[in-house]
Amino acid sequence: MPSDELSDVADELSDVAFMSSSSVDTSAFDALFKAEYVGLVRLAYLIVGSQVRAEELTQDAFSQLLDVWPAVESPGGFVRTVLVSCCRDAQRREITGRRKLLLLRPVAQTEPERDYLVDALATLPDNWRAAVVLRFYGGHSVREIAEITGQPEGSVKSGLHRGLAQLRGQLSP
Amino acid sequence: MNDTSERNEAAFEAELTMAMRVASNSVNPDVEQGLQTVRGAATGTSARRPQRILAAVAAVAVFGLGAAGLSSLGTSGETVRFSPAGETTTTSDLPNSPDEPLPTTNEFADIERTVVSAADVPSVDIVPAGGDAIRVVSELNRDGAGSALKTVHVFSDSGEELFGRTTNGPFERWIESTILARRDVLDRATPAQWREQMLDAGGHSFSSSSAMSMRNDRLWADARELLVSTTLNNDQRAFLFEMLELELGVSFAVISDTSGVPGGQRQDFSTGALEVRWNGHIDGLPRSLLLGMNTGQPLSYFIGGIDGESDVYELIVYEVDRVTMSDLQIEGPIPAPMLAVALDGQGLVAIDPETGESTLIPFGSARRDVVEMVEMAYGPPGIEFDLAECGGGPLHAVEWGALTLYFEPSAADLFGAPFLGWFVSGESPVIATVDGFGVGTASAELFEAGLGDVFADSTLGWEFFDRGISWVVSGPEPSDTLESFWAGESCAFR
Repeated sequence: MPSDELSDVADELSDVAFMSSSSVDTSAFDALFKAEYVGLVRLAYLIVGSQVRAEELTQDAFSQLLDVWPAVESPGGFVRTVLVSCCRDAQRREITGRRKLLLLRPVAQTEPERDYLVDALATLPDNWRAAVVLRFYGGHSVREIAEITGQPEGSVKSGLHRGLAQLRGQLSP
Repeated sequence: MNDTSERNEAAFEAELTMAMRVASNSVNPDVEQGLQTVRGAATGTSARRPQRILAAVAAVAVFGLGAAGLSSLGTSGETVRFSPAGETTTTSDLPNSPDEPLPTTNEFADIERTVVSAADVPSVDIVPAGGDAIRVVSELNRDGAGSALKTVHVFSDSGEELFGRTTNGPFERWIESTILARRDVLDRATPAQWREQMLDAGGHSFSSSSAMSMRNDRLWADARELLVSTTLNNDQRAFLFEMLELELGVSFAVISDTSGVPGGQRQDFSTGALEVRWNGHIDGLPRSLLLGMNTGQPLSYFIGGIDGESDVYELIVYEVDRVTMSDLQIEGPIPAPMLAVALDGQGLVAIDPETGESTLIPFGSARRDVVEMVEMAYGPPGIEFDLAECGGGPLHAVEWGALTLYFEPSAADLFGAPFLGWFVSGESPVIATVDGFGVGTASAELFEAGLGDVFADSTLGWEFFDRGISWVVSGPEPSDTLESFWAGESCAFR
């Protein structure tokens, strides 16, 4: 593709992206943000175990919502689904990254002190953790969790059952 | 389940709910600040938005350039010129079939590549013409033996998994346990029988529901070829293509086959054959290709390999003529680098951006560790090549744009080859010493830091040696600037 066409393409993309955001009803988006932000950051915090990361991921999820706002029927559900997906991706990258970092520093790393529950949640596999947090913090049904996480309902139920069993073993006296 | 057990479970669940609320109540983000960050990202006043647009531009640029490859030189979105063996060569076309010979140096035209690294094109959500977004998540990990484990998932925008393939063990062993064990049967089987055989092999998840197949058909209807990141031999690759054809309805044509090259999958750089090695970061690449699928642009990469154990990417030529650019939407957050890297007279310093902890990676460290670390900061390297005629002996170079790392070329264990030196010759805001000195730094800053007291009698220009680093500035005056610097062994000709 000639460079001038390429430049046109880039401009077009920029226009599409900025057009999307500029056509958003500011008040409606802002109202949703203010209503949902804290709860979603807290939800993300329980999943990823870091407030800084939780805020970043939540902001990213809202950024994605802002870009598609006119076309989304259920913005609250959309941002929640995106957030959970972002949390899962972040966890996977974190695991890979930490694993590599440990190759360089064989001495055990000390994590910042966290709530004991967050530590216990961190021991769960990603899908179980997301299901447990969505169920017992978010108050979502199994069907809703299946929609948010993209997991079959059977997997959600299984993850809840096994996740709870594991947590019970860790948290019970 | 008896009543007591149920009551106990209910009590635990209630306690868990309460504990989660207590734990999360400690988190009180600033709502207004968060909103400003999101709004700033949308209007380009925050750092995030430009990166996303750049990612879009970069990705489009890659796929819009037709017969072009990839490089991670310089800044994302920047078009750079690839010059093998130090000479500028050009090509307008790459081979379109495996039967065509690879172009030689004399047949090359200028190869313009746009800088794209995995960090620039991370989790990309793609909206095809059908209106449904898809996301590809791919992971490459290694087991304890260092074998590659491959996982690929394709998700719809609602999170429904459309296609998933996970190896239970090293991919090579999976291939051996299936194709090689059943070759006599599979050779005679129809495609449907192949599918049954593979499902019977067990432990391999292929999407098989009719709904998923229909979805796959729609999404991949125009796909004719797909990039596969594998270290497979020809038989294994053929089998993989067959299975993906069954599953996704796409067809494959290998454009370049480096497996037959003497010495394994090594391409001789000096012949002028294009060689771009993509090490480890496969996350961005499949998504980039999916992006290319939806742009209606021809796409071709030429990617060779170093040896059979590396993360080798085969070249695939791809064409889609249905989706137009206006249908394309690109979204995706840019993850922060996992690591920062600074240059030191004794090697490299790895810095954890979250904790600020730093670790010296000294000269002599194994190549795998060093390259993995630098990848975490800068993404995959652009090119690797051997330098046969350096003053101190031959070196193997791995280059990230302005930064080149040198390793011993003749080590029996290629991935354990010792880290010998580094060299910086281009300006980059992220390639600098621990003190923040990089190409373009004013000499005044260096002098103020106590560097540059005595200039050496050097054929390279205004050179001085301090803190284990050789520095070359454009002149002796404070207003001059740092032009290049290196430590350890290098290939600077004096």
